[in-house]
Amino acid sequence: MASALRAAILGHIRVPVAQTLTLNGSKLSLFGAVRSMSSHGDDHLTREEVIDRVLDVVKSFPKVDASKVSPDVHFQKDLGLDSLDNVEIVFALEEEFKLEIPDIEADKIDSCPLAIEYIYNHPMAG
Amino acid sequence: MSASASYLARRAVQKERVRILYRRALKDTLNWAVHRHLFYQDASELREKFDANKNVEGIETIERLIADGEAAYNKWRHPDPYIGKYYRKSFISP
Repeated sequence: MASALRAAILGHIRVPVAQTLTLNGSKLSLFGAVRSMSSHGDDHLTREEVIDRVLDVVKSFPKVDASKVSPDVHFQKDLGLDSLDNVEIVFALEEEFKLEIPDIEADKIDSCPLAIEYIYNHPMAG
Repeated sequence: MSASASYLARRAVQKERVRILYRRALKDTLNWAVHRHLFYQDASELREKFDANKNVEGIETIERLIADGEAAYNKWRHPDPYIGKYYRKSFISP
């Protein structure tokens, strides 16, 4: 009985793996760290919270049609923004999550999935 | 003009330089703006300066404009930049 219960629980626990993203065909490993299931994971943002707040920032951008925003959108390809708008959005995300992103990393964030992934994996996101 | 690989590579590098320059200048604008509404005004003007050159053609002209922009940025960089989290002004000296 206990082993069946244990199996059922394990079937529902998501085991974190090293996050690697494919960017233009090349592997981009953000931090390359395995997210450990530490007991003080409570003070880190949940994925849902990151998604909600990222979408809010993007939707609030004046040039954006909020109805087109989803967690999958590419800022330039789907929302019709240009590269400088992209810079402004990343800057707004840094302010929202109280992060300092290095210029080279920031320049690569050009979509909601990348923004969400980067912020969710950043230990200092608040 | 035929779009040779080296030309495209050069243009790609230029575009990256522009993005990075805009990002740094935008952040520096925040350093200079004592009040938030000033930041929005200055940021708006900064964007207009970049947009004015959006459709400039000629790789050497573009090169010169970027160099001018980077020089202007270096000249006007805030001498005491705010290092840290932008959302909260720290009253403890760095």
